[in-house]
Order: sequence, then structure tokens, then C-alpha cells
Amino acid sequence: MTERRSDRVLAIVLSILIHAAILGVLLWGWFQYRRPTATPPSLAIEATVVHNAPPVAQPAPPAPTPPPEPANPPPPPTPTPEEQAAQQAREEEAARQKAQERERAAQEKRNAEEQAEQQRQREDAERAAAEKAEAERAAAAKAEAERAAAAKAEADLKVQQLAQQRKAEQERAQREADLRSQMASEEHINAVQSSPAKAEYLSLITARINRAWIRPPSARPGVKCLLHITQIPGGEITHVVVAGCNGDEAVRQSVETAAYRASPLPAPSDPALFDPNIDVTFAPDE
Amino acid sequence: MNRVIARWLGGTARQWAWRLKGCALLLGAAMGLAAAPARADLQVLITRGVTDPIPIAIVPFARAVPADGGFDVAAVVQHDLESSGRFRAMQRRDMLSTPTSANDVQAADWKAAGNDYVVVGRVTATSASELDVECDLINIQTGSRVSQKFIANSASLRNAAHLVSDFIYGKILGVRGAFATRIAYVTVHGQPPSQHFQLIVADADGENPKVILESAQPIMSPSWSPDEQWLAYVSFENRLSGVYVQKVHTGERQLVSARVGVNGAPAYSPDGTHLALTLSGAGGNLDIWLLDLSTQGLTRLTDDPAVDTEAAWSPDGKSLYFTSDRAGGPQIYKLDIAQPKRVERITFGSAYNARPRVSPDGKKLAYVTREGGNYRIAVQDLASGTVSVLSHGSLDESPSFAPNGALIIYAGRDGEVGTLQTVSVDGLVTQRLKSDQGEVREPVWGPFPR
Repeated sequence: MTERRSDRVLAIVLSILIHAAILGVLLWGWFQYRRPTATPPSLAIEATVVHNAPPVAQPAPPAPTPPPEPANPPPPPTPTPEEQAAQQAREEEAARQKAQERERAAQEKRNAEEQAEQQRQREDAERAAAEKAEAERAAAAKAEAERAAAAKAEADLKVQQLAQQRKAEQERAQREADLRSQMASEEHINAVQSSPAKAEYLSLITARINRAWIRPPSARPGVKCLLHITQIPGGEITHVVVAGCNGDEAVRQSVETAAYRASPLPAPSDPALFDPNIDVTFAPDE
Repeated sequence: MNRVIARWLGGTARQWAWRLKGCALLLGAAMGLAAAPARADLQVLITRGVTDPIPIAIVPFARAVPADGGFDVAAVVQHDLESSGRFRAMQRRDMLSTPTSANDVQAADWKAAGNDYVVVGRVTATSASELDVECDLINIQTGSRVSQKFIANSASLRNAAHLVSDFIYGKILGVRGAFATRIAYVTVHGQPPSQHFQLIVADADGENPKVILESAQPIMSPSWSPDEQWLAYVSFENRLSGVYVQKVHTGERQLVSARVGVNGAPAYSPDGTHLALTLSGAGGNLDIWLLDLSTQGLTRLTDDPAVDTEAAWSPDGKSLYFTSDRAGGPQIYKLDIAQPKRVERITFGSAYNARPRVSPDGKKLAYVTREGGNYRIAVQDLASGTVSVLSHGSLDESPSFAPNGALIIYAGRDGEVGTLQTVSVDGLVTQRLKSDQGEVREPVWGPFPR
């Protein structure tokens, strides 16, 4: 059940009017009974009445709408002359009270509005303060994050630089080692090129190919054939090119076949002697 | 290459001396052989090689049933090639597959079995009487392949098989094969006075023998005409010796010399126009004469009191080798037909050297030599005089070169059994072609068919 603000204001005003009407009837009865005692109206009572209306005392929201017309008042008794005077006085009194009441209601309304305004301003101030605090906090956090990121980046950079430096050092060391070993192996190769080990290797290859060459009758002295042989580690012959041959087709075929028959070639005692390229010259003697 | 360059660019100073020298050498080499590729570090020189038989697999040919009459071409080819001593054939039972086309040959399998070559082939009937014999020769080591087709019929299938052998032999060895050639020889059965003589012509492998002359009297010294159409021989059919020439194919023949005394040892000249003969005349002294077959004109070439006989032509037709005992024992001499008085002794080593035959290239002389108490076949290099004794029998006789010069055929004896044998000119391979109860004499290898 929703209660709108206008409903509540209406209720309050009606309540005040009803109270005022009851009070009016009671006062009229009293004056009838104790005439012409004219006791000033007890403000306390009225105040009590007013104060007894807690909804009114509630800090009502501003009610811009004017109070509605009073409900139909009880029909006045037919006045008598005295009664008319008293009535006059009562009416005046009622009007005065009404004015006072209006004045009070207006005052209360003003107070309420003032309070609401103050409240609003307080709330605005608080909100602004909170917002400001929040902004400050966020700014601080952001600054902190940026500082942390910067620190981390710096640290990372340092690590990276260190790693690069280390890597560079390692590479340099490797290069030096390679160079040293290359120089050593070149020395070694140069040394073995004319060594007994090479002579032995060549004689092994020669023996192998010689055994593989089934010499055709047309391979007579004066015939000369040059073959380029390609071997892979392990001695397997992968490629044979007859670079030149003055023999007949049978001789050419026999030397090419011999090269493949000789596969795999023997391995050198010293791996440095291995060379994928071998030139083989077939020059049959007697 | 890069490695070589890198090696050349790097290194210590003390290596530069020989490097500069190497540069000079390389420059020289480059100037000498502009197109020559860079030399490899490893240089190998092969001068000898081996004479091992070449490993080859001859796969059974696809048959043309029934037109081929069940003839096994591959078996004949295998026998031919093995008889040459130059090939070692894979046994059929060891073959994992029997492809009949080069495309179906799984090279790795055949290589793993130790072969250098594989022969596959097909016999197909192209008409009612004609057969195609096709063969593919694959070098398993290098992957190269060649093919050949021969046209035959059911009667000439054996000859086609020999032609396949010739093709393979020629492609691999660079020497023309002599498998599709023929031989002639004389057989003797029985003992005197009731003997039976036959002149026989057969395929070079001894198969397919055909008797072209039979006689109760001796038949001797057959000699092929250079066109392979004729045989000259000596027949005593009229109790006296006569020299005949007979056309092998038809049996048509002529008596060309029936002079007084001995008419013997005919030898066709290389151009086929003359016969060298041994004639004694009335005096009984054997000398070498030249008979012009078209004019019947006779020219005396030797005039010596000793026996001069068994003439053999040099391939150029300019000289004759013959046997003479003018120095006491039989030795071989050479005369120049243009100047017959110029006679040169050729053999020396043994007290008995006779029955010369010249190799087709004119560089070797085969003859019978006595070694200890045995008569054997020897080959002498005419340029160097080096003699090799090739046979190992006790009564080996009548050597004759195959037309490609690779083999020598001769007659031998094994107890009462006469044999035809071949030996390779290097003496490494001896093969027995034919054995006959009785004697087999004077085999002569025919020329290449023309």
C-alpha cells in the first residue's frame, strides 16, 4: 500500500479541522452552560491538541498546496442576540485561533522546509565530501599503482638488461670457444691433411673402389675416367658424376657402377679427415 | 666448397706460404682446365680393378604359350653369359620375385641380393608364326636401363635367346657377344678300319648340332668362309685327299683341289677370294700355296725342304702364320704374302708349337704347345712375345678364337671321351661344351653372321 504525500497532507489538515470543530462544539456547550464566563481559551489545551496530533508534528515535507476548504462546519444554532454577541466573540476568537494556527502551520512548514533544506545541504555537503574523499582516495591509489608499475618496469628492465648482458657474455665466450676450437681443428685438419692418417684413409678408399671395379676388356691402358663422388657421414655414396671418360660405354658404366658398389666407403680413423667430396680417377694400367 | 674457402680464409700466418703456392697451382690448373670443377680434397687413383664375374640376375621371361613351344629363353641366356666367365648368375630359387618388365623390378631387393644387373623380358606372339622377344637390362647400382627387341619364330627362338645374350654382353662389357655364332667340328666313331666321320655344324654353345657331311673316310681341317655361308675342308672320300668347299645351308659343294699328293689344310682368306692350302705335289714336300677361288690360279708361298703346313691368315689378309719344322721341331712362322721369302719365326719357348690361329684383332696367336708330356693350348701376345698356357689337358688340340676374341674353343680328350671346350683368353674360365663317346676333332669357330 503506497501512501502518497498529498494523501498524508490531506489527512493531517482534515484531522486538524475535525479537532477544531469538536473543540468549537465543546466551547459552545460550555458557554451555554456558564454564561457569560468568558475564559480565555487555554492555549495549553490547544497546544495539547496540536501536540496531540503527532502526524502534524512530524517534520512534514513542504506542502505547497494550500489547505483545503474546511469541511462543512456543523450548522450554527440559530443565534440569539446574546448568543449573537457570544457567537461574534467566538467567531472572532476562532478566526484568531485559525490565523494563529495558519501562522503556526506556515511557521512549521517553513521550519520543515528549512530543515529539509538544511538536511539537503548537509547531505549535499556530505556527498561532496564523500565524493571528494573518494576521488582523493582513487587518485592516491592510482598514483600508488603507477608508482608500483614504474618500479616493476624498472626492476624488469634491470633483470632484462642483466639477462642480455649475461647472454652476450655467454655468446662471446661461446664464440671465443668456437674460434679456439675452430682454430684448433683447422690446425688439426692442416696437420692431418698431410699425415699418415690421411694416407691410410686414401689407401682404404682406393682398396675399396679397386675391389668394386670389375674391369671390362675395353678398359685398356690409356683409358682415363674421372668421377666426382659424394659421400655422407657413414660413407654411403649418394651421388656419382662421371666428369670425363675417354673409354667406351662399358668402361663408363663399369666405373660408375664401381663407385656405387664401393658404398659404404670406409670411415677415416680421424673424423677430421672425412670429406663428402672425393675425386676418383680410373686409369687402368696393364 | 664453403668449408674449403673458409679454411683458406682463416688460419695462422705461417700457413700462408704453402697457401700461396697452392693458389699458384690452382691458378695454373684453372688456366689449363677452364671448365674443370674444383678438386676435392680426397683424390683417389684406381689402376687395376678386378676381373670378378659380374653379378647378374636373369629372371624367367614371360612366356607365349603355346607358340614358344615351352622354350626357356632366360635359361639359355643365363648359360651363355655364365659360359663366358664374365658373369655370375643368380640362382632362380633365390629370387624373391619374377618381374617381366623393368617397371616391376624392385631395385632394392635385387641389390640386397648382391646383383649389379637384372635382366627381365617377354616373349609375345605377334602373329601365327612370329614371336617378339623383348628384354630390359637394368643396372641396379646406377639405375640406368636399356631395352631391345628381337623378332623370331618358334624355330629361331634359340637363336633369339643368343641374340639377347649378345646384347647384354655387349652393353655391359663393351665387346660384341659371340653367342649367336656357330662352330664346326669333326667327330670320329669306331676304330680303323671301320670308322665313321661326321662334319658337324652347331650353335656356339654346342647345342643344335647338324651333320653336314658323313664319310667312312677321314674328314679334316674345316675352315669357315668370312661370310659364314661356306665351309672348306679336306675329305678322303675318294681314297685320296681333296679340298672341298660346301655351302652350309644347302649342302651344295665343289671340289677345289685334288692335285697329286697331299691336298690339305685349307684356310679362307679374310676377303673370301682365296684359300691358303698345303700341297705336296709329286715330290711329297709340303708347302703353302695360294689358290684363287675364282680363277683356280695357284701361287706358291713357301719353298722349303721342311714341312710347311697349317696356314692361318692375319685379319688384314697380308700375312700368314704357319707351322714348319725347318728348325728341327715344329714351330710357328710368319710370312708376308707380298714378299713370301720374308719369313719370321714367331714361337720359341717349347720344342713343339703348332697349329696357329690368329685372334680377330690380330694381336694374339693361339697354338698347341707341348708342356712336359702334355699338349696344351697357349696364347702368345704378338707384340710382347708373352706366352700364357690356358688349358690343362694332356691332348688338347686345334684352338680357334671366337669372333669377338674373348674365348678360344679347342678339342680335348678325357680318356676315351672326346670333348669340346672353351677357355677365356685370360685363362680364367674353362667350360666343357660337349662330350662324345669317341673323338671330337678340329673345332673352328665361325665368324659373326652378316
